[in-house]
Amino acid sequence: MNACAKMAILGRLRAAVEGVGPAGFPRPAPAQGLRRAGAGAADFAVFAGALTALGPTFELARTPDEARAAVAGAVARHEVRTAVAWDHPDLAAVGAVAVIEGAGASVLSPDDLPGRACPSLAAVDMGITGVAYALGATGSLILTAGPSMPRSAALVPRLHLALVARSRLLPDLPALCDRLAGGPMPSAVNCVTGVSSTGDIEFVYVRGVHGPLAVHVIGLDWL
Amino acid sequence: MSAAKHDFAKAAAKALDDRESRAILDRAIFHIDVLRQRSVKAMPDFAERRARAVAVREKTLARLPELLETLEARVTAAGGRVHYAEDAAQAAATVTDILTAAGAKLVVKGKSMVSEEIGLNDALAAAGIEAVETDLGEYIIQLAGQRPSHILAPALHVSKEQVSALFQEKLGRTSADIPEMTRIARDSLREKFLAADAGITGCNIAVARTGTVTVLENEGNIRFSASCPPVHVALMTLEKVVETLADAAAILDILPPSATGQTLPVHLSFFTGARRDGERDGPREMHLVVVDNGRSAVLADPVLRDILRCIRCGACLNVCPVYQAVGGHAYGSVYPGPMGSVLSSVLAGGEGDPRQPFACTHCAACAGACPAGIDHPALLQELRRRLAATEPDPAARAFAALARHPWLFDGLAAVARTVDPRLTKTAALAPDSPVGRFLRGRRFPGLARPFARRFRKMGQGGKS
Amino acid sequence: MDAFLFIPCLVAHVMPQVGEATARVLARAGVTPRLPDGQTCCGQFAYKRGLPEAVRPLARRFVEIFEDAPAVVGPSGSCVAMVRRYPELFDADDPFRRRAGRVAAKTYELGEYLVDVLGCPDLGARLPLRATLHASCQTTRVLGVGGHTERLLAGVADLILTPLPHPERCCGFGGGFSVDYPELSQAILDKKIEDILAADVAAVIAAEPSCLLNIGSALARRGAAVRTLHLAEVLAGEAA
Repeated sequence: MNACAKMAILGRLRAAVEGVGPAGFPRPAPAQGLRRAGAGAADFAVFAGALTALGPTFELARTPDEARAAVAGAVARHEVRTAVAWDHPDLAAVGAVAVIEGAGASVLSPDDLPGRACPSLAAVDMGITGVAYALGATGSLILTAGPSMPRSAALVPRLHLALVARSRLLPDLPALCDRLAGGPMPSAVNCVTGVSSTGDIEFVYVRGVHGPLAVHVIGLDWL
Repeated sequence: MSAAKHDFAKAAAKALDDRESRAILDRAIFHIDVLRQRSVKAMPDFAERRARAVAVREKTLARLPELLETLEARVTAAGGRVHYAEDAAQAAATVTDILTAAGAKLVVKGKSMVSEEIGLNDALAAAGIEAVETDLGEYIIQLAGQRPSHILAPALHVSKEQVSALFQEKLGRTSADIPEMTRIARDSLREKFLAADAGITGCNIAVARTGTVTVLENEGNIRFSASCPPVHVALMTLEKVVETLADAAAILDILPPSATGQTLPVHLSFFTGARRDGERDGPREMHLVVVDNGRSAVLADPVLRDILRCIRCGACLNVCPVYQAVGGHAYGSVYPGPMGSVLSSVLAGGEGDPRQPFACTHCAACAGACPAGIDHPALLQELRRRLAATEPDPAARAFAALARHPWLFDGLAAVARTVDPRLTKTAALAPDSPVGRFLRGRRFPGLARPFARRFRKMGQGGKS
Repeated sequence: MDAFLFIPCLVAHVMPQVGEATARVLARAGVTPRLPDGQTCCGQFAYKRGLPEAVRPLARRFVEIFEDAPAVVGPSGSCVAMVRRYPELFDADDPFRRRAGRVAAKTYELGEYLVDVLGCPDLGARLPLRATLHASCQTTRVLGVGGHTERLLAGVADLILTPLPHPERCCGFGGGFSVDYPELSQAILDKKIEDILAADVAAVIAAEPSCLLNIGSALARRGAAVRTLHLAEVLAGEAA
C-alpha cells in the first residue's frame, strides 16, 4: 500500500544496522541457547493440577464408556440444550455427538454454520472441541483453527467442553513452539490457560469476562 | 506539534493533591508488584530466562530490516496484507482507509498502546467509524472520556464507586459489586463483538518466519476481536518482530511473570493471516500495520537504542517511586514511567515534557525489575546530558567549578557556616533557589566544623 | 595497612561525625586511615544534571589525589558509584581513562571494604538501640552491596533491627531531583517517613549520607524522636 513509507523505514533500519557505529551490532552478550522443552512425558495428574487451579474442572475417563458418561454428565450438569461440535477424531473416538444428542440436546456441526459464525452461536449453550495439544506444566489447551474446527466453538458458547487425549499432552510452551515450528501455522492457534479473567477494577480478580464462563476438560486416558 | 509543551512538575503537583486517586493507585500498584515479585522469586531460573530474552531482543534488533521483510512475505503468503506507516498520522490514516474500504461502521478494539500512540480513536471518529474499546479497563476509560494511566492496567486509578456511577450514567445498568459490574460489561460488549464489522488489536510479538501475530491477554476480548469480525487489523511497532517461534517462546518466558505475575496469561493467541479455504470463521481480511513513528531513527543511536528492547511488561512503572507517587496521567504522554520517560523523548511528535528525564531519583529500581535488561537510569542520564547541553544550569556548573579549588570550596563553606549555618536565611531570601526549594518541608541540620580539622585532632590516624 | 579516606563534601561539611566514625571503624579493624589533602566534591551533582564535562576536571583531581592509595574507602554508596563511572568520562585514548579505572577499582564503600577486603572482622561494636535500616538505592541496587550492610549490622551487639515494609524504596532525594521537583520529592519522602515512624524505632540507619540528610531533615521538621545514624556510626558504637 504505502511503498514510500516502507522504503524509507527499511532504508533507515538498514543504515542503522549496517553502519559501523562505535558500539556495533549486536551488543556483545554471552551466547544463550534457547530453553529446551521440558523433558519427559507430561501426565494427566500434573496437567489436571495446573488446570483446575485456574478455574476449569477436570475428570479423567479411562475408557470410551467413562468418557461418554462424563460428556453426558456435563450436558446434564450445565443444562445444555444446544451445542456446537468440532468435527475431530477425538470426538469421533468417543462418539461425543451421539451422546449429546442422546441426552436431549441439539448439536450443530461446522457445516451448519453460516458465513458469520459467531453471531449464530450467541444462544448456543456449549461448544465441544478436541485439542491439538495440551500443556502439562501450565494446564493449557491448544486449539487450532481449521475447516472442521471453527474458532468460535470454544469462544462464544457459555460452556467449553474439551476432550484431551493423553497422546496430545506436551510438557510446556517451548515444546509447543517446537511442534508448531515443524509444520505450517494454522490461521489461529489459541493457547487457553484457565477461564478468562480480569483485575481491571481495583485489581479485584474476577473470572468469566468474555468467552466461556466455564471450561470443563475430560481426559481420554486410553487415547 | 502542540504549541505549549506539557509541564510535568505542574501536572505532578496536581496529581499529588488528588488524595483519593493516590490511595487507589498506591494499593493497586503495590498489589501488582507483589504478584510480580512472587512470580519471579518462584522461578529459580529467572536470571537465565532474562539473559535469554535479552539475547533474543539484541539479535533481533541487529536484523530488523531483514526480519520485517520476511514477516511481510509470510503474512502475505498466509492471506494477510502488510502496511508500513512512518508516523502516527500516517498509521491512523492507513487504518482508517482499510476500514473505510471494507465498509466498516462498528469496530471492536483490543487493548493496544500503539493505538493510543497514533491517536486512532480520534481518527476513526472523524471518519464516522464507531470504535469500542473492549478491554474492561480501556472500556471504563473510554466511557469516562479519559486516557489510560498504566500501560497494562489502564483504569488503575479509577475506584469501583466511580466505575459504578459511570456504568449507571452510560449503560443505564449498574451494581456496587465488582463481579456484577464485570458481567454488565460482558453483556454490553458481547453485542458489539457479534455485530462488529472489524476488530483492531495490538501485537505483543510478531514471528517473522511464520508470519504470525502473537497477543497476550486475560479477558478474551482480543481473541474475540480477532476471531469474530470479518476484518482483523493488527497494529505493531516495528521492533516487535522476532525471527522464530522459539525466539517468541524466550520472550513469553519472562513477559507474563513480569507483567502480571502469571506463568502464562489466560489467552495466548497466534494469528497467522486470514481465514483459510473451507474455514467457517475467522477474518476474511487480515491487515498488519507496521508503525515506525521515530523508532527506526533510535536504532541508529548507540545509547538510546536499548529502549527498543522493551517488551511493555509495565514492571518499571510499578517499582518507580515517581510513577507510584503521581500515576500515569501526570506524564502527559502515552507511555509513562521509566520506559515512557525514555520512549516519549525519542518518538516522533515529542509528546510530554521535554525535561522528563530529570524527573527521576536515579534509584535504579526500574533497571532491577526490567526483564529485557534495559538500564533506564543510564538512558535517562544520556538524555539529561543531551538536554543539559542546551541549558545554562548555572547552579550546577558553579558548584562543579567551585569544587576544582579546595581553598575556595572550603572557604565558602566556612563563610556560610558563620553567616547562615542552617541555610534558613538563604531559603527565606531566595525561596525559589535550589536551597529554598530543597528546604520546603525539611530542616537542614546545619553546616559543621569541617571533618579535616576534626580528623587532625583525633590523633589516631595520620595525615597523608 | 593503610586506607585513604574518601570523605564526600556532604560528610566533610554537614556530617563530620560520619567521617570520624569511619576513621574509628577502620582503625578498629586494624587499618590506618589517612586523609589526603584537597578533597572537595566527587561531581555527582553535576553528573546527574547531565554535565559530565563539568565532572571531568573533578575526576582528574580525584585520580591525582588517590592514585597512590593502597585502597580508597568512603562512607557513601552514591559517591563511590560516581567514582566507578569516572573511566567512562574519558575517551579511549585519554591516559586518564586507564588511571581512573585503576583508582575506581580500589575505591570501596565502607561496608564493601570491611566485608570484601577485610573479611568482615569482629569490630566489637555494641549499640543498645531499636533501629531500622533504610537500604539506600545507590548502595543496594547500584553498587549491589546492600547485603554487606546487613551482614555488618547483624554483628552489632544489642542492636535490635525492625525491618521496614519496603526497606529498598527510594527516599526521594535524588540530588537535583529534590530541587527540581520539591513537592514530588517530599511526597516520596513522606512515604518513607511514615514507614519509619510506623516501625516505632529510636533510629534509622543507612550507608548513604544523602539519604540520611534527606530523611533526617524531614524527621527534624516533624519533630520526630527518631535519630539518623550512618552505618559507620553504628559500627563505631558511638551512640552507646
